[in-house]
Amino acid sequence: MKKRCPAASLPPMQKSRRGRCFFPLLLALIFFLPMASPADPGFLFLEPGPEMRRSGGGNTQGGGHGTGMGMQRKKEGQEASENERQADSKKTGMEEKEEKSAMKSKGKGHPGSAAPESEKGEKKEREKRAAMSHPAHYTLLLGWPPAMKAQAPEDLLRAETAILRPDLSREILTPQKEGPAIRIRDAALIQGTYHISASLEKTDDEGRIFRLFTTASMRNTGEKTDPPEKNPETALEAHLPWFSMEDLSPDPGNNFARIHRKYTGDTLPLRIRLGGMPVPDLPVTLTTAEGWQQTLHTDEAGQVKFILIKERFHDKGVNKAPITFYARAELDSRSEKHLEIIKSVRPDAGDNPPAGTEILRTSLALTVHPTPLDWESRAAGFYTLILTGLVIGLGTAIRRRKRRGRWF
Amino acid sequence: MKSAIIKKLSAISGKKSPEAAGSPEGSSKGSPEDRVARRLSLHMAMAVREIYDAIAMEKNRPVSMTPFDTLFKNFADAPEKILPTGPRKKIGIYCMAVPEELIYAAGALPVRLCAGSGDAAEAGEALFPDVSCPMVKAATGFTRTGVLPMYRECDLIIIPTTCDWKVKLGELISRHVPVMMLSVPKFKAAESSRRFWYAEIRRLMHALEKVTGKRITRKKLRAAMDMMHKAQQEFRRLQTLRMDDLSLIRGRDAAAVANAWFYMDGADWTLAARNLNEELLERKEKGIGTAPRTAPRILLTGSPVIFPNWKIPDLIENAGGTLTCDELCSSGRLLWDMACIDEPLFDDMLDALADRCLLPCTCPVFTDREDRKTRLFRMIKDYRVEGVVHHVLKGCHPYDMELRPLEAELAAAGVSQLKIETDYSPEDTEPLRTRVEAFVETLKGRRLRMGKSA
Amino acid sequence: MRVDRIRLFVQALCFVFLIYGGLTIFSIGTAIPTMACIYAENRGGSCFLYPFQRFLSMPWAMLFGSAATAFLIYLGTFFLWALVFGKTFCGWICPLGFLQDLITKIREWVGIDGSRFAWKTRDRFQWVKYALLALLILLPMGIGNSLLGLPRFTPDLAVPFCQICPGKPLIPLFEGDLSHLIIDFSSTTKLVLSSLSMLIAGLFLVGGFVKRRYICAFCPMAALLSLFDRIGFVGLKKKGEACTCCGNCFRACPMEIREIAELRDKKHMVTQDCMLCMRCIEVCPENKALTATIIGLPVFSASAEGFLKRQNKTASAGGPFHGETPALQDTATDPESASK
Ligand code: SF4
Ligand code: SF4
Ligand code: SF4
Ligand code: SF4
Repeated sequence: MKKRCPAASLPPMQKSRRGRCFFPLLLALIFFLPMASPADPGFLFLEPGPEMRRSGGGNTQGGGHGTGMGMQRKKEGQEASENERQADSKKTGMEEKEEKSAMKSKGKGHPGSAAPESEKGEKKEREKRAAMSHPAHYTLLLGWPPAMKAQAPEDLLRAETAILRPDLSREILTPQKEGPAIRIRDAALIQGTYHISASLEKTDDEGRIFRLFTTASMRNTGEKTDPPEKNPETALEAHLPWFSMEDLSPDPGNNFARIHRKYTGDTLPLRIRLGGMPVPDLPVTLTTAEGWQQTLHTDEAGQVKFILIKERFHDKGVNKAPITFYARAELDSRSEKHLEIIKSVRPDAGDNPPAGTEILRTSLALTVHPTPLDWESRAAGFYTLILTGLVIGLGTAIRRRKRRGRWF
Repeated sequence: MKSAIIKKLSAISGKKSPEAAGSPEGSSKGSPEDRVARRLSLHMAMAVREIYDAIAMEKNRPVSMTPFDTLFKNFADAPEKILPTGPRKKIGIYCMAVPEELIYAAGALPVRLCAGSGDAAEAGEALFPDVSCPMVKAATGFTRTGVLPMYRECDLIIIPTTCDWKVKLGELISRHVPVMMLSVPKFKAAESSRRFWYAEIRRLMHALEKVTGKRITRKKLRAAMDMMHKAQQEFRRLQTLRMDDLSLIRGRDAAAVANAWFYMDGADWTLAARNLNEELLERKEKGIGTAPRTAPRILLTGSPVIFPNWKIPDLIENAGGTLTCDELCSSGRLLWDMACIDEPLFDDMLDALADRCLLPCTCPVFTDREDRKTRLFRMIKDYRVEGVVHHVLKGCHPYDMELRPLEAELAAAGVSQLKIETDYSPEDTEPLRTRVEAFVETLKGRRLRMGKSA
Repeated sequence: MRVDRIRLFVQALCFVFLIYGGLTIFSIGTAIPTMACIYAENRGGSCFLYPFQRFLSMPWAMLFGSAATAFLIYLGTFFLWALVFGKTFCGWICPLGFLQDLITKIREWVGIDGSRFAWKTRDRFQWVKYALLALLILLPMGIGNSLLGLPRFTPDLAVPFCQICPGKPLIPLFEGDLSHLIIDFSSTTKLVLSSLSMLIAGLFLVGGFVKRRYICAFCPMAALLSLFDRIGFVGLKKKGEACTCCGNCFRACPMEIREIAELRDKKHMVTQDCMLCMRCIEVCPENKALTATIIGLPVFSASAEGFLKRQNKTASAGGPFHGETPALQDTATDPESASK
């Protein structure tokens, strides 16, 4: 990601209903003050790793695609891939192709499916599955958006991460160091939705306790299995971190082969819960990688609904590459109101809050694609089609009429 | 009303209005014409009776020939009864190049007017040069004298411009009957020819609609094509039966069956032909043939052979040969080629008809003889033909022109051939008989030799 | 047995399978030489051309290096398909072909006469499909590499043929996906290509309505498959001495192949445009003039008998014809006889 000075990119006033969210100077101030303190770890994020990125991050952020507009998706990938190629020069056309065309990756299956297969048929099946799916591969990030660095502190290796698979098996994953980054990885061979959660506890010099939580989810094609017997909702409930931020976008359905993406302009409903209880009236901030942001407060049900900011990137042609949006919320025990909330869900702790200040943070990283509506026009396409049809049709009819002396 | 139609029609055909069409001008002119007519009708009746007297002597003749016999006997006895009666309009046609389906679809009856009477040829002779096609002379004779009423009572006569004689025939008879010329392109392979021909067929369609006063609709056309297919099916069955080792029917009778198509209603003909086929099938099972198995199998090709000109078929079969098949536009080829309904839509069906009449036609008036050659070779193979008789009418230039190269090609393939150049008159029968007999003997001898060597 | 009926049925089956087969997680691969568009998400197998163009747009080093095996296997699969089925893909399987046939059926049902190309036009545009084939090979090559010292082409030219192929906007429509009916304004290349795509899609629909198999006359896949005409397993043979040159086959041929009727001395009749639909065999009235073969064994031959049977069914709307069929002798509606 290109690093930018957030103050320089003054967000233009968007539609009036979002008006109150943009007080650029004020917000810049609020957010850069804490950053000044080096001890503050910031937020924890799970961002799709390179193995998922290669496919344009297609199925990551499985929260789904909200209404109507979400239907627009680019499968061609060539646009996205080109932009990505610039971003990650290691990527190769071959790799892109493998996923774009859902092609059998002959001889070079995904690392996730590298397990040796004895039987041929099964191997083929495996290969196909591997080609159609991709592993869950996430980078753990710590910091203040949008200035996220891949260079991560070693602390992250301590992070507790877990994955909930579609068959409802839950597994603790260990973060690994991969180059400068710290990542988690799961082969994810089953078809369905995967939920990943991570949490990290950190104490700074001043004795403040930071409890950081984050989640991510992805959809994956792969082997079709019987639906789990257990109730997936309960399992998810159990899997979600204590202080959770959930993406409530509608379920995109059972077609896992279809790539679901979030587009700018889509709505993003989020729910904040602490120990399973919705947290009302909590400011939630959505920041884009470019530094634009907006803050909304949760309602009674702990829910908040963003409209993904429609950024236009016209500095160099049309930018079709996906960008990351970061949503975050925080509960600070120094605030009376927040302390109340924390206490209410932690009755066992009684009146003894943990020594010192406790800061709970939850966050969500989303890959969002610029909406194709920025550069495509369906109406124009439709009219061209109809017009061509009419012109050719009429032309033929008239010519025929001239030649044969009758219309039909 | 009628003259109005005719006027319009002449506009279509680009001809001068035949003012005198209706009036019996010819006969009122005086006794010479009358005499010619009377003589013609007398002589023709004699010729027909002669034929049927000879036929009566034959054994083993299929009984199902009766309807055809009745038809042809009418030539002598009751010329007005040749055509089926009824309110239907009658459309006279010459040649195979006119799509009869179209006429049926217009609710009219097509009558093919090609004539085979030597006496009629004499009657029409005066208008023609010395060496000219007897068929056209005979047609003119009939039209001028009006001996056969059908030549006069047609509501329209369609003449395709195939050979040069036909090209000029229209003008000669347009004094007596309304004529429409149909221009046939002579080079089949070019697209422009086909487009031109499609246009001609459409012109014909409009003319027919005007004459009959009925619209040719898709449904009617389809029904007509269906009817035609049924007739063609029977025709092909007959031809296939004739491929049998045993000669089931005399070549002359087969030609008569095909000739009857000229005058009969299509559906009636189909019925009669079906009966005949059934009978032939039975005879095949019983092994009753019209000629001994030793008789050499002969193919007749060339100028048309039309009732009552059975001279050549009779000569061949009386000489001991068997006429297994013929490649004549008056019989063997008549109903062979079938139009296909591809898309059952109007234009497509019209094109199909046009194609049927033009493309597979092996008439020598077209530029190349490739098609005819192929067909002959195929027939020789299919019917196991031993000898080929080329029939050239004196004055039939196209067949004459094709004869030499074709003879050379057939000879190269080792086929025995006999060329007969004659006309409708019975005068040269005796010399011809000797030649034909000699030819048949050679064939027999060859067969014996082959049999020995085998 | 009417082959065109059977064909339509097979086509419909293949269409459903190729377009919706993916819903069963069953796929027959991506090297299928037929226009089963890759943009249809639930496809059960997909078009050869997309991955082909993708492969070609790799830099040489990779195409002949790390990707060489994959590329060869991929090409091999295509060869096998093409060898075994050859042009039957066009006549019996291709979804785009099926759509065109469907449009034709609609036209027939409505009762509008079709058109045909003038011979000259048809001959004149023969090269188009080869040109498209050459372009769809050269343009992608020019993206990954610099051809003849030219600068590399813009990546917007990636999969150039797919960008103008009528399959891209039209086939996903069957899955309710309208997202390819667009004009893309993001760059000039895209603008031109997407406008062309819309034009061609319009041409496909209207042209297909006016003339049978309109787009197939320009399809590079047909050009590619015609490499296998001679060696393919499925063949079309002609017995020249039985053919009367009646032209029935030419008129019925959806691809308007003149050679089928006109060439007597040619034995192998699978010409560059032929799609092995066997329509010509159906309408040929001469015994054994045309024969379809599989590995040299005859499977379906022309015959007079069969011709008449099939024609009879086609014409059955006319009813049995016996003298008094109302369609032909309707004296009641005849204005002339009524006035008498
Ligand atoms: S757009 Fe056309 S060429 Fe490309 S995959 Fe689809 S059908 Fe094939
Ligand atoms: S030629 Fe027609 S049938 Fe064949 S692949 Fe192309 S579009 Fe399909
Ligand atoms: S339909 Fe048959 S006989 Fe007629 S031209 Fe074609 S191959 Fe020859
Ligand atoms: S030549 Fe025959 S098989 Fe080939 S496309 Fe034409 S009709 Fe079909």
